[in-house]
Amino acid sequence: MKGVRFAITTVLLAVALAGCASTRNTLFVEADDAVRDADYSRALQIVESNQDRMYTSRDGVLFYLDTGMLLHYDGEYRESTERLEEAERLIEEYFTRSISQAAATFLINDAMRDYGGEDFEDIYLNVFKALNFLGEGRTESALVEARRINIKLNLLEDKYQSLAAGYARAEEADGPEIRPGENRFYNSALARYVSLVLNRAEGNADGVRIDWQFVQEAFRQQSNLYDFPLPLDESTARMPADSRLSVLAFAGRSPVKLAQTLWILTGDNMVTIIYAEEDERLGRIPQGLASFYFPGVEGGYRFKFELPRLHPRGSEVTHIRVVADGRVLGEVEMLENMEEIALDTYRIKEPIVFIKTVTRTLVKSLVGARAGQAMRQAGSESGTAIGMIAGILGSIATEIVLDASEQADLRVSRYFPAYAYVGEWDLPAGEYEIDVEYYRGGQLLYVDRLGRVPVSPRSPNLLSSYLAR
Amino acid sequence: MRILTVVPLITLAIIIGGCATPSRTVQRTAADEQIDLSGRWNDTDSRLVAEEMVDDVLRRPWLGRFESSENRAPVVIVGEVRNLSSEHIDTTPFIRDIERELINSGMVRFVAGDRVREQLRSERMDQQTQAREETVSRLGAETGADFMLSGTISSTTDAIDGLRAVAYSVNMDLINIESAEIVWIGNKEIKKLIEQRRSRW
Repeated sequence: MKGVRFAITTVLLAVALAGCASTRNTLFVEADDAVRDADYSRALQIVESNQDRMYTSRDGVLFYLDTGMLLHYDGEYRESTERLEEAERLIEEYFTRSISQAAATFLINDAMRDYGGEDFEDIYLNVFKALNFLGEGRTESALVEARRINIKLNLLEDKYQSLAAGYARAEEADGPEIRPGENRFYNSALARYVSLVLNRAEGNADGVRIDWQFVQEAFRQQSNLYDFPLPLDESTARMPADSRLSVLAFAGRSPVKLAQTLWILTGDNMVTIIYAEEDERLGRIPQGLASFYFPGVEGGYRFKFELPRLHPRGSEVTHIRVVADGRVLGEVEMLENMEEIALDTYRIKEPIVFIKTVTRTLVKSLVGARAGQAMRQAGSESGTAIGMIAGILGSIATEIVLDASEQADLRVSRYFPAYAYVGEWDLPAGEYEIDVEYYRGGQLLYVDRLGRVPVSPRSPNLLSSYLAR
Repeated sequence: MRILTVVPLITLAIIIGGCATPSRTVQRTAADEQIDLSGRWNDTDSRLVAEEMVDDVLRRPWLGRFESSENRAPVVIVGEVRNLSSEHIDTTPFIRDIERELINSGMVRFVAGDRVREQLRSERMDQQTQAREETVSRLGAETGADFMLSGTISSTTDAIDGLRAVAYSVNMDLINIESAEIVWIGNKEIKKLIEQRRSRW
């Protein structure tokens, strides 16, 4: 019974210490609030001035993705492109996995490896680079990004399409069931649409036709990710008679990873469970403590499991209107649920993360328990009070170190939007004062004033707008 | 027992020694040495394509025909070289390489491109009011080009995990400015196979 008390005390101490310490998410609270208020330059300043605390040397991809996106929202297109370019270079570099880092993930935690970016992050960075170039009026460079997107999507298609096609067939016919978890994101309607608009402006009819096929295919073959109607029709793939205005509106914020922590302690014939859940703003909060009689259980063991959980942050926005010179053109409709794509990508990895975490925790805990016992024993065998205290302190220190080392890998990019919406309108060539209005129900949340915008024939006329709420 | 002390100390010394090695070294190389690091389009590609293009364009019959009919070397201007590839290629060095090779051949004459001409015209206008009369450059005395050289750089990429084959295709046209007749078409292709290891220490 004494052993269990000792163990519970240690765990509560560890929880208290962990609670006091900032988690990765709590470090971003201030920057996230600034983004929510559309104050992107302040968010950028917070992130850059706290770079050493927010990102480790293994998180270069995340730093460049996060700051690249904040610069994009802030209209600093050139610098945003440089950051996103660096993120892309690192993702390419980290394709080559470090064996020593992989070994460290089995011994310490998953955050010991370089963050190599998720598939969706690698695709979206090119989408936003293309939008950056369009913002600078550099259509040819935007087209380069469109081609890079196509190469990357083709790679993903080769990797995952057979699974997706199998899943689509299984839904239609009787056959072996393929779980949705096996369906991977390999085709982005958003990325294909950006490419389509650029090809349309170039008068590249073949490029437009192929992009349009891919947009439709994304909805057809990845119905778990695109479970809403295709917001575009055949006219998208036709060259406009005069000029066409295309608007991409983005709302919300991409999901973040939160930690779920579970401690299991054993006493003689006794098991105690302590459970903590992470709050995005407050850090880890103990949720419950249960202690019960469990005959036959050997005392002195304690296990800490910490698993990441992808937490959607969604958006308050329910509909978005586009206004030109005070006249409502219409509403934009959802083209891509970027949040769902992030969640889906993580769902596929989740079982692997779970098994790896459980295995690592068991090994570490068993080794830790043996080491702790040995230290206490050596202390008591020394026969001196100092030796005994040193033995006890040593075993506590071992447990705290093991507790601290077992941490969920909470790394994921923070500043991609949650949803992408699209709308197109044929207009006579000219200049228009464009506003994008974001609503929650009947309440106007925000008006993004894009200013006077030229709309001309054989030009992409693709505008983008954001509200991170 | 001594060996138990010595071995860890030597290991530690080796580790510390390894850590002390500078993480970056710089080595000077010849400017024309072929160095391929990322597999992307680089200065070597630009130089090799320019050399081959110029070699080809100067060996073709359009040059002899023009010289015999006009009794002078043709005047050429380099127009746009469009990047239709999947890489951000700065076409300026490539254009400069072609201009340099052509001028150094002594077989054609060159006039400056549109941006430089704009600057020259502005300077010439400025001279009309600001420079001494005997030093003023005349207006309307530019040499008109006979031919325009323009082209595209495109690429196709075929890739699977860790392996990428990139084929660059550079196409150039020489067009008679007066008649819009295409007198020469050049094509040069470069293919690269880029392999990236899946693991490292």
